[in-house]
Amino acid sequence: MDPYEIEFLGENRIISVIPNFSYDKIYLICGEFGPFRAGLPLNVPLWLAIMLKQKQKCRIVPPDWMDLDVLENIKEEEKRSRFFTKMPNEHYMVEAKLILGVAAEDVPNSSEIKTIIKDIWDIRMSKLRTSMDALMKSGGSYGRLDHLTLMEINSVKPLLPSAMDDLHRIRTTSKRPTTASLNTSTFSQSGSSQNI
Amino acid sequence: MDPIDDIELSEEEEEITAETVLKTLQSAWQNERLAPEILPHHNDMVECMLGQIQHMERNINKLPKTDLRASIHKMELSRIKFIICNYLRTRLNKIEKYCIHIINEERQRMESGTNYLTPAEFKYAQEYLLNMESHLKNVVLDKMPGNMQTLELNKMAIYPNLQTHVFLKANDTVSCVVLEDLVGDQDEEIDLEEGSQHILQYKPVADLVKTGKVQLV
Amino acid sequence: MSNYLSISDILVSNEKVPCKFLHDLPKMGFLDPSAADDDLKAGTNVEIPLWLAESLQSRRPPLVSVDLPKIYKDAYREILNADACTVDMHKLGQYFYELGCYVAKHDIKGEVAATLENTFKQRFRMLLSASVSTDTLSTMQPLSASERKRAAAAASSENALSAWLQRGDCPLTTANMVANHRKRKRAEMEMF
Repeated sequence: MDPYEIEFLGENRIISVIPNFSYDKIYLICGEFGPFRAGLPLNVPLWLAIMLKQKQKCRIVPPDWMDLDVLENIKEEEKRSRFFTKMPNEHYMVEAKLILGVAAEDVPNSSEIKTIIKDIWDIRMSKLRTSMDALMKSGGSYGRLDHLTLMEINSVKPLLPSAMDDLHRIRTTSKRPTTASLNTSTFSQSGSSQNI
Repeated sequence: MDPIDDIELSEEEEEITAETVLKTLQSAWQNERLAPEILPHHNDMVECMLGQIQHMERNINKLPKTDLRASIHKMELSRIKFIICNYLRTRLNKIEKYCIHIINEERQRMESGTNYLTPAEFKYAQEYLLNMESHLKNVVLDKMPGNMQTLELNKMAIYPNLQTHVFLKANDTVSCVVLEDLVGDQDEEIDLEEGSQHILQYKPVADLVKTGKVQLV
Repeated sequence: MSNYLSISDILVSNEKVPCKFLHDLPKMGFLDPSAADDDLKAGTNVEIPLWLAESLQSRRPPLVSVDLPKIYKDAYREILNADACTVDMHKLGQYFYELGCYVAKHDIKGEVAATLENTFKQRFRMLLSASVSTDTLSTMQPLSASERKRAAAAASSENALSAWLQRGDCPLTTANMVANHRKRKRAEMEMF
């Protein structure tokens, strides 16, 4: 999928905003939100928060994890661990990018936070490459990937699954029992049968 | 604006909310995008959501154009329309690509009443195949010697690769998923704990995708 | 992905394999470029396309015995098993895996099959680095046809991702991080 489609999915996450206007509850298909009271925080989907912010109708309340100390700990933990650690949420990168993109002034220490999130991302991406290589070397037919976020999983497509497909095809076709002499079919036919 | 009426599904007595329908559609869309084969349709959900959208659009028209709520609703509707369009288009792409195979399978499924395609999709598949056939005949076969004019449709069939590897997240705990081991003839069993994520072959989990026990990611 | 109309499958079956003719074949001398005779003598070694070799071999009695192309023979297998990443597949075997799958059937010991699998696993890291490399020319060069396809697809999803990261009001890459990047990479390599 395209990164923008993953972003689209991440935009359904609920975050907190402080509106500068008052309105009754709004009944959306994805749920009811409000009432909006100027100055009082309330929960809305991320896409709505971004939209309100762009119209200068609210301040965004940074999620709890968007905090230097919290992120510093996550980064240390991520560096220390051989495995992927659990991220604050499965769309941390989308949330960070969108919130820091339109509402950097609402986030204390936003530029340091930006840097540290990118650091965490880079550590994880490089770990991801190392573990893909390890997965292929160790057999390449099954892997468990807890704590990887959607955007991270999406980044290894199509490379990892297609390499596993290729390896599987090599295994099945090269180890076919040697009844080759009976097989008079044309190559294109045997090609299509691999697909079934 | 009026609260959205809860939607009633006629066949089942159970009431489900628009929110649930939307969530179901979104996960159906994700699965359809990521599964190699065509999945059972969710036409009831699509119809239901289209009804909601119409209802909502009528209400939006009653609001003043500059009303903030109107633009919020419009934005939400665009998001939902995107999901529905992309979902339906993804299915059509698969129907075109695996046309011959899908029609053959669907005929068998129709006998047992477990069809995957909606009536409209099935009609589309059949017409697509007819058009392809007559195109190939007009352009090439009719100009060939008589003994070379037959079109061997089944030889041309393209099959989805069910052995392809997919990423999934377990919605429920599922124990004993059997992974075929081609090398050592010793099949491996794994458990999918709720919330865990895996990459594995599609074939052993195809049914779990269809029953919603796992979500492709 | 191969299917009925797969061009790459057709190209693979057009690759030449060494064969030994088991019978005299009248008027077939043209198959052997070095022969002056009209007829092809039993015992002649000729390289012919795989599709032809397979159909001649599958006759009863077989007309040819199919030998392994040199890249699948002992000498190369040793090199491949030692370090497959040093081999330039673009020069030595454009269709290394695909052709290998066909000819592996003629290797009763199954060593070709094992080498194919092992080579693929080892060379996966070349795909990884080709997909993120800025020097595509040199990282792509030694890859086989299918490896190049994989690496190109991986590079394009890598590009889509960095385009996403850099778009908009908040590009998530800054000069200061690029400077740190190299240092961090090294630290991680020690970790593993």
